[in-house]
Amino acid sequence: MKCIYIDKDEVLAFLNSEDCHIEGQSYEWEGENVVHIHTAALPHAFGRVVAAHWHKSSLPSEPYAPEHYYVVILSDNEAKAYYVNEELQLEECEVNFIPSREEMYSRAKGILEVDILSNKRVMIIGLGSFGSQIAIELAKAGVGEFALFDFDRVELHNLARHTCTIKDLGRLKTDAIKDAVIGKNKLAKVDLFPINITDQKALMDEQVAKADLIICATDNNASRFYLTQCLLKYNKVALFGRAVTRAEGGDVFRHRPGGPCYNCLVGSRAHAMATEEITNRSQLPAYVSEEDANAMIQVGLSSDIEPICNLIVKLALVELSRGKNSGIESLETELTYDYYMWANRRERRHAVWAPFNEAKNKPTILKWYGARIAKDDNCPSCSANALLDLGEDLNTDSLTPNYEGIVLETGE
Amino acid sequence: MNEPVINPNGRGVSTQSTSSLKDLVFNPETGDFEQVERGTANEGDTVTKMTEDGFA
Repeated sequence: MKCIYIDKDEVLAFLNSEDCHIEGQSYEWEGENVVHIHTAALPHAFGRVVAAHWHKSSLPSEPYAPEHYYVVILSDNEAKAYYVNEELQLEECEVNFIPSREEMYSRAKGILEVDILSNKRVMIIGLGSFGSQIAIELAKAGVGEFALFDFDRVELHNLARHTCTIKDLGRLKTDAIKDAVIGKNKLAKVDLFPINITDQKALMDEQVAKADLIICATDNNASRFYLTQCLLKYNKVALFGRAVTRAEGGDVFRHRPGGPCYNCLVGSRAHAMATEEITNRSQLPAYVSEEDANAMIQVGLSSDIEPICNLIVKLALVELSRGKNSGIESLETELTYDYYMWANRRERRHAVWAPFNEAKNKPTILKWYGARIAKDDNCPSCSANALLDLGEDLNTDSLTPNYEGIVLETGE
Repeated sequence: MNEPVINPNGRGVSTQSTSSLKDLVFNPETGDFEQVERGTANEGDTVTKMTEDGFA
């Protein structure tokens, strides 16, 4: 017996309409007897396309079109479906409902209430291996609005670590991740920005101002410093995540208003070098150096990245549900560090760490460690003496005149 | 002090003298890392350098 899936939201829309019959479309996984039937064609769908008819209350009188599906909606919870075979015989199918939005997250009730996140807007800058995963996890958790930034396209070398698949090759990452987000949270509102953030100051200002949380998963310091300036202007919370050299480890930095900024963390040398960075690297991911490209093949890089993504998602959910009776509020008093470090292997930066089976009083791999970062009194970005390049609409009323500081020039 | 620096692209970046990169030293009593000025950690400390390199 064929197994039919119909979307409850589409069922309700059809029942509430004045139409007694509409022509939709079905997508059949041949050989699997699984069919998804919709009231209209989907822009990105898979399977063999077969015409489908939706009717209220009862089947139409004949004639039936061969090799078509007929769905009869009896109520918002009851439907029947039939397949008309080549002999014009009706084959009854098993009907399953794709649940409504609230029902989809019913398993999470008591862990995370849907309403808390449905009106939250998360801005994700960078849709590589980190950003893509984070977007989908937040969609699963029920975040209702996304602003996705990345000017890149899905390429072959992305596939090993990225959430996108072969079918997404050549697509803009923004488009592909939007489909993935909608696939998890069908009512999510997703705004796409396939741009370089340093080229569009006014747009960045607008989007940072609108966001409840910003997640930075870019592959260069220039974008991170630029974002920092926007965060300081609009008093926003942001999470900066990264993997370091061949994903030997990674870290997460949380920017909060009044606290240390990214420049306090990595220092002004990196800030000064940011304008010289070449971000359009070859086909290597940013955490693989040119010399490492020919080194021993490193397996499992995607699994090296996942723990770092998981912490970013946890921190994001804590920020987004702060102050609410969310089920994870206990983490508010535990995840209090500015900076978190993770090591997958004891290499380079983590070479002095202890083996996992001999850790004792030393840090070791596969565990998170926190650090409180001091706000730098001389920080060229966030200190009282900083001169910030915040664009043409900078309000300088609060700034002290005649002081020296950093001016970061971006764009052409 | 402002020390103007012209990078190869012809754009000027003025740098204010400020603190350098700090290192992170593991505190076995708390299980946390603590920031210290680079090069000031005690012998025997587990020092992890803060790096500006490496990205997702």
